[in-house]
Order: sequence, then C-alpha cells, then structure tokens
Amino acid sequence: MPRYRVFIAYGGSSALTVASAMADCLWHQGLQPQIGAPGCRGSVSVARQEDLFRLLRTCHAVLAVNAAQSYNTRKFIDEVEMARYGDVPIPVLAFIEKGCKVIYVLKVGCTRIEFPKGGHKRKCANVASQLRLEIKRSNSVIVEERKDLPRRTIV
Amino acid sequence: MKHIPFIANPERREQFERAVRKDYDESSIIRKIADCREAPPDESGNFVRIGLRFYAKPDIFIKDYAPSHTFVLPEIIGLGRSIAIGEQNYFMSIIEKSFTTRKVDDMIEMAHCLEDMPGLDLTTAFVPIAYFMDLHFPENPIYRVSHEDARYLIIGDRKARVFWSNNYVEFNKFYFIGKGSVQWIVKPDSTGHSVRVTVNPDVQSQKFDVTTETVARLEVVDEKIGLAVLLSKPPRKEYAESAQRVPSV
Repeated sequence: MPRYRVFIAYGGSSALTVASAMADCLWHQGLQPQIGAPGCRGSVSVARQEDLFRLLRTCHAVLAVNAAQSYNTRKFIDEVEMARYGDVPIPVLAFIEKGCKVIYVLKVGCTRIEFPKGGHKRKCANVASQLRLEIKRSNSVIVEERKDLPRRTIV
Repeated sequence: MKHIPFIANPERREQFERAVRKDYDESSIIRKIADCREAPPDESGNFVRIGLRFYAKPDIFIKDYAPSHTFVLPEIIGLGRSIAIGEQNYFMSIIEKSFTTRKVDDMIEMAHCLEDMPGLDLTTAFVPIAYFMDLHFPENPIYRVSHEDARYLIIGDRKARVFWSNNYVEFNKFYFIGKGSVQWIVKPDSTGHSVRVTVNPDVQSQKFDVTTETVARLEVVDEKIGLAVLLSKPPRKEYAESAQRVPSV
C-alpha cells in the first residue's frame, strides 16, 4: 500500500500531545505523518509559517486534532481552512476530543472521529483506515463519454 | 420483520444530490480559469466522463434500513471534490499536450518569455508547489503573490489567478493561460447542473449503484495564447524533514 503523506494540524498543547502520539501510530499504520512539532515521528522544522502551508499542500490528507485550547488557535484554523478551501481542497479528517469546543470549519463538511480524553491511541487504526478511504475517494476516474465509469470501493 | 421496499426515499436522494453538487460548486475551479458553454446531449466531440461509480449501503437512501435509534446522513463527503480534482487533472493533461513548452534557466528568463508575448492577456497561472517559497519571498522584484479576494501571481504589470500543484494534481512546469485560449464545454443533466447523479437500486446485492460525474471536454481555442515553461534552476528549499529520526513509541 502507498505510504500516503498526512499533515497533522493541531491547536494548543493538549492537542500537540495527541498529535505527536497520532504521528507515531499513523506511521505504524503505514502512513507518512508530517507535523510541525519537534521530537516526534515525521516532525518538520520550518523557518516560516508559509513553508508549513507549502508542506500542507504536498500532503494527501490532513488530520485536524481538536482538543482543549484548540478553539482559539489562529494557526490551527488557518491550516484547516487552507486544506478545506484551498485551490484543490485536501481531505480533512477531524479528530475531536469529546466535550471540547470545536472550531467552526471542522463542524460541517468533513468526516469526524471523536475520542475520549486519553483514548486517542485506541482510535488510531480507525483514523488510518478512514484517511485511506478519504484519499481514495478524492481520485476520480476519467473515461471516454461512450464508456461507463468502472465501479470502485470508496465507502 | 416487515418488508421494506428497496427504493430510495426521494427526499434522501435529493439531499444526497444537493450535497454532491454543493461540494462540487465549492471545489471546482474550472469556471474561474476557462470560458464555459453548455452543450446539447447529442453534441459529438471528445467528451469525457469524470467521476466515481460505487456501491452505497442502503441506509444512505432508505431511512428504514438504518439501525434503530440511528440517523444516517444521506451524504458522502468528498464526492463533489473528487469530480473537481478530476476536472483539473483532465484540464492539465490537455494543455500539456497543446501548449508549447519553453525551457529556461530561471524565473527572470521566464518573465522575459512572457514579455515576448505582448498579446497575451494573462488570466491564470499554474505553478508547481515546489516554487511556493520562491514566489512568496522572491529574490527579484518581478514576481509577487498577492492575497486579495483570491490569490494572484503578479509578474511585472501582469496579474493572474494562481493555482498550485499538489498530490492530486501534479505538474512540474509553469503554465500560463491567456484570456480566450481555452473553452470548457459541459453537458449538463436535465436539471441544468454540471454534475450528474444517478442512483439505481441493485436488489441482488442489496446496495445502491451510484454514479457521480460530469461530462465535459476542454477545447483549446488558441494554443498561442498559452505557454508552458520548464525551469532549469531548482526551487529553494528552506525546511528539513526528519521523518525517520525519532522512533518514539
């Protein structure tokens, strides 16, 4: 299976803890995490936020980790908005800690997986499988008009 | 157990169609980059189908198939987006075949190429994502990216909507499109929308056979008012990846 690149966006220190753990477990699930945080699997150090935006556009999907303190994080909102409303939108999977205030752009139009506080690792396989599905669903097929589209498994 | 007819609920089917079309309308860039016209169903030409065909579980379309006390939203996220991505891939493949490619050393020489085309009323630029930082922090004053109602690439006194490559629409050349160089021709469905949605029950498999697609073609009206440029100078790289560095578990 291809090792798809997944950008992990997070807002706040609680989300960073979850994001770091998810980076590691997504790697073990055969995905290539990219995260703008030091000391974890797939960590990327950038000098400017613009470079992080560039990096985001080179990924197949975004895992948006929304936990306590994420709600007012400008950088987090910018990254998710860029993925969802960019030139070519990138699939966004919202990974939300139960009971936390959720940023507006994650409330509608994207798949949500919730986890209880401290229970994020148990959701890892589900997150990885959903990310693969979203990526697969983003690749449409092009055929001549006289032909029928081939049937694929995307749900 | 009561018998449930295997027929899509009209209101769930309509909501499904609305969601696909809304997703497409929000994602498609084609009307921002090309003149468009609608074609009658019997128009010939090299039209293509762009989209997905798949089996959907019955609870998407039949409310009574959902587990008790569960509401299943009659939507599948990303279907409209995938058509928009397919359109852009098809668009790029056609202009790649039609536009002349100029090989130049660097971005200054690329600007000179554009200056050599005085009749080019530049509207759109497709730029490889690798050059993102070069254009946001240019070493020469010719280029600038402007964030207004949309993102524009300013080249001297010219201004074009800029779109970057990504993992779904990959290209390594710069493409410049002038006004009137291409036309997008689409065959809408009976409702007049570019996206066609068909939902057919398959009783044998107890699933719905769903197709979400657009039928369209790109006509290159004048390939001389478009240009592809391949740069020899590699892009600047300012970040460092350390994907393998910390194997913490």
